[in-house]
Amino acid sequence: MRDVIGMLLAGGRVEELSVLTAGRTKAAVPFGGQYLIVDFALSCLMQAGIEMVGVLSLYRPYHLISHLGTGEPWDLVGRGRGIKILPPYLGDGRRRWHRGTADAMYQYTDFIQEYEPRDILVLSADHVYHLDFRPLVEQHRRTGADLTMVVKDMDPQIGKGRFGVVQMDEQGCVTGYQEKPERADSRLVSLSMYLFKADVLVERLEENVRSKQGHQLASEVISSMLGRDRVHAFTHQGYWNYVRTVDAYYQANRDLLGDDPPIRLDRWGIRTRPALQGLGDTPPVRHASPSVCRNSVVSTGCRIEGEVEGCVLGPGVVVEAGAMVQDSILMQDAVVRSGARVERAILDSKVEVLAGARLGEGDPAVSNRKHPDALSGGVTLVGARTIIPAGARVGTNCIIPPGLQADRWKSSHIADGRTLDPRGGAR
Amino acid sequence: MKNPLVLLLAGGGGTRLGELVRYRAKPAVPFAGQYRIIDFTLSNVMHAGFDLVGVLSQYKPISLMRHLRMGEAWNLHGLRRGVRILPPRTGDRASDWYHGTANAVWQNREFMDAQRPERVLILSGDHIYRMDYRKMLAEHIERRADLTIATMPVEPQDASRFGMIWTDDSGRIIRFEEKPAQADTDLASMGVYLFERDCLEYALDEIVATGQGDDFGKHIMPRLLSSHKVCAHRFEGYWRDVGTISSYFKANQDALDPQTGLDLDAWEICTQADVDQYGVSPPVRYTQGADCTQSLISAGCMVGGTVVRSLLSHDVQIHAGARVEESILFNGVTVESGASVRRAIVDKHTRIGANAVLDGGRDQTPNPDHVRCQLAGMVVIGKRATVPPGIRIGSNVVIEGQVDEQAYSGNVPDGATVHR
Repeated sequence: MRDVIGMLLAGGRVEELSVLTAGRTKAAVPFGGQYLIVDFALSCLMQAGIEMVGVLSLYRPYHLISHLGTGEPWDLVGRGRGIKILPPYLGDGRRRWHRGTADAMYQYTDFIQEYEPRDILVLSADHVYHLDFRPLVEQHRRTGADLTMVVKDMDPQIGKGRFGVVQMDEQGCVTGYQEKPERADSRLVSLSMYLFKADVLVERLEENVRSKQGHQLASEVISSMLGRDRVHAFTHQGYWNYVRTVDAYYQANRDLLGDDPPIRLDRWGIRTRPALQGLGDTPPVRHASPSVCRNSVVSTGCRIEGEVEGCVLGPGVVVEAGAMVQDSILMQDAVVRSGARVERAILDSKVEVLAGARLGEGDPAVSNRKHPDALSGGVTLVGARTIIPAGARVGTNCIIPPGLQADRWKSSHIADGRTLDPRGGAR
Repeated sequence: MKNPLVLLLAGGGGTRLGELVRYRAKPAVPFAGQYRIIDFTLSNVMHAGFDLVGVLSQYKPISLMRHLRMGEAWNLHGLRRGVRILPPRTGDRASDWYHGTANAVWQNREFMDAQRPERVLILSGDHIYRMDYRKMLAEHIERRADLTIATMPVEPQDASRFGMIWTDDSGRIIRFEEKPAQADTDLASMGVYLFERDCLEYALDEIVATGQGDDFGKHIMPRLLSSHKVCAHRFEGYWRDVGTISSYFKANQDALDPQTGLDLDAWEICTQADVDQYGVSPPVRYTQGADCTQSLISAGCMVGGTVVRSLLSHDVQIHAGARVEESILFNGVTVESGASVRRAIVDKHTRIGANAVLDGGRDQTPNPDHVRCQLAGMVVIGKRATVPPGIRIGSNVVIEGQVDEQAYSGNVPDGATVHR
């Protein structure tokens, strides 16, 4: 599909993911063991045959840039194919890096025009889903729409205050749009995927930057198109998830588990660039005798000597003999030493839980004191490279910062809902 | 000091691996789940930091070529790095198939000369070992040897399987005998040869080109002892030739226990994932009924049943209630619910029907069609075969690749072969 180019909004930092985004942008947060969240959007673009993708990246882009590389995992290398990182810039009379998503895209109208595409597919890089874009393009062209928005029928309670809500008439034309309303009068939620006619998009972006209103793509540009341009909706029936908070991230990972999970990695064909681990490739998953591994997703290079149940494990995770890990998410190279017990926790990469420590036991009714909006579901979050001291007790809804060495902990008992500061004191 | 040019002999048919080499060369046979046999040698080359490898291949090279790709998995892709497949080609005569190991090298003289190497390291692509070739190279240079042969100690009763070597106190080789009936030495050649270039040229010009011999072990080594300084390098560590079904199975079982010396974690073996290296195979998914002990499970597998002391390659499906024990399952094998697989090697994309029983492990009734493979009680099932639901298959049984349900006439007794 040469005449559609993709633009990925790789976004900024979100407070609600707490220490998961301490060193990386949201699109580069690991998901499903061996993937990063951005792999879902990129794999769908590839499967639709899209050959040119621009990535608007703002916050902490290093992980994302090195993951994308030259784009070969998603077949974006070759004559006319490519993936381009599009960073914001100053100069040209600009005093700020950019004023919003529409402004960030406006900075790259030259990228859009260089390839002379017929349509531009604008996606968020931080959603987990599987969607075939070909019927979307087909409908967009059949209806002659200037903009086709992807929507999903959702319980209004779920989306309340979180998503854009779309009103649609019987012909499939969008008649109204509200950004994150507290009371929604429609079940149709915008999935932040937009297929624009290229020339209309450029025109509307130019209008927007000259205007005195805000510069967000959804709330201003799209609202300004309603009643003026042909705006249609395309309904997505399949899985879609937006991992805005720690709780939502945890819940989305649960969708990988069970005998018939909603996220079907075995069918979706999601592609990624496996992180290199020194010189060696990671060997297959090694199970010791005796050991337990049930209802879990386990990446290559893991070593299971203890008990694992209801978990998502990234590459190279080690669960030693006598250790027990339950209903948890462990990212690359996390280690749980013998006799330790981890329950309902998210351990970022290279976290080490020393012998006999216990994480995640407590009263889930106590929300995280500092970030109750992000963490109240009874999950404990540990930042990358942190070492949990031997014999420590960490409750539920706790947040432990990245890079905290075992000897820096001021107390080895962290009560439910507490957040450790980088110096090891509890708040 | 320049790196030696590496020539990797991947030519052997490996016929004693039976069904496993029906569609592939021996170096391309899967091993320990996600690897292929040749990965071990190539990873040794990579860890030594050598940069150019010629792969001499003439036997079913397609799957090998697909596996090597551009060599990037072993850091053999770059400005001056590479892996080149060197198939036999028509030369002065109409057909010049490789007539032996030395003949294969001789036929690639042009390739070798173009690289202007100081030394040439000749390896074979069908052994399981981890060796530091740098140590051998340093010893070779220190001794000012013309040729160094890597050796290892073997049991006296195994002498007839190896090129046996006698040395003097300085490590210089004084006698070389290919597969002797008996030997009063315990040093065997590993088929790893480090030549000074002029010594190799001498061997090719004076022995191969003059029609006096085509094989390094049989013809070249014994002759060079008198004209050149040939030394032995002692290797001590895990090394296996996985030439028969029995030895192949044993070495795979060794990979389940690092104490045997075959330590995949420490060895840092690199491989090219089957389709490509970008994780098309998702992480392993275990359902509620999964029970795995002492096993290696590769990406893309789904485990819903019991897996004991087994090795699973990519994308294997073990349905709920199935049991797999002491077995090796290649890519894309499906074991349906209630099936029981014991002591079996199952090649790619084969389907084991529900409640079927593969009952390997008894070596009482030999299989007359596959004596040389040394089945040792194993059940061997070829690529893309079908095993019908509810059938019972005995020990020492071979089921050929692509066999469908019509090929069976009921249960398969010990020692039988099901032909296509």
